[in-house]
Amino acid sequence: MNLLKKNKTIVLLILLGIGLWSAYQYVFAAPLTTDNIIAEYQGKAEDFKRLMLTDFDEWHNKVIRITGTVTAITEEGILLDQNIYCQFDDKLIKITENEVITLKGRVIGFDALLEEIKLNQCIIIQK
Amino acid sequence: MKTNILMVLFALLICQFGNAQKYFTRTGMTQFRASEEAFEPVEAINKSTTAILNVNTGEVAVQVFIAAFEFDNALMQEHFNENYMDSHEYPKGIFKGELKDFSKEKLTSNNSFDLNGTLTIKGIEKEIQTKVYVKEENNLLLVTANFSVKPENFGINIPSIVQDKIAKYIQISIEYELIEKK
Repeated sequence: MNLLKKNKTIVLLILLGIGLWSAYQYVFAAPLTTDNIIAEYQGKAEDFKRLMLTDFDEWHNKVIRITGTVTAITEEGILLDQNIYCQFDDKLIKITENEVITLKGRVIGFDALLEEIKLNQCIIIQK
Repeated sequence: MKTNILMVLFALLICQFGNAQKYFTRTGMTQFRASEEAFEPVEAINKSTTAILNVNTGEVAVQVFIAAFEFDNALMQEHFNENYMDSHEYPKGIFKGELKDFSKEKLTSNNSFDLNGTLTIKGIEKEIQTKVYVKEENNLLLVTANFSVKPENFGINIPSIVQDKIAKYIQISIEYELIEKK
């Protein structure tokens, strides 16, 4: 009887511990990175442009995986198929113009000032 | 034939003069700090700000995607987007204004300019006035400024339960490295 009571307290304490720990994890978690988010669109950059132009809002803040041609290289990113700007967190690994690459990134919106679709937190999947 | 070529060259030259000379960035840094002395700071950074400066007229246009503000804390970022900024409905913050008496030639002697303009957040327009510092370095224009805004001016309601944790004035600082637009 005594043993059961003792065990009960221990089990309760363990459960409480697990509860507190998961609450802490939930409240203080860092935002997910592109890496850990499943892409909601996969395909050609060219086709995505058309999709995006029909409905901007639909793709707001979504992660996509696109394949396209590198048309310009800047300090922190690249232009894919002329008007999809992809920003990288890390300094660029070797990419050359006219190369066809596949990357994953988060759509942050349509940049009306430069008339470009803008992605950030991009990572290269394949070159 | 020769006159033709000359005329083409002349026309090109006129086009060059006619074209406004612009400097821009796609990856400008816009940061805000909204915390009182708190257990966990309420602050975020946006490294994807687009900014354009017309160096002939001093006109400035800036566009910030709200969802591109990055917090250290996922839950805070979610609340910022969903409860405070409605970033799905109002995805952008926009600033349009003018640097008074700006010219690139002045930059050697003077780095500080008055900026006047309109800031639009959540569809609400407010006049902003602040000082902006511009420095020329290796063909880049480095633009920095600090100013503050009141959240209630833009229809951002702070629930009373967190009111003590969020400052009355939100400090915004910007840091843009503009390159010439060709």
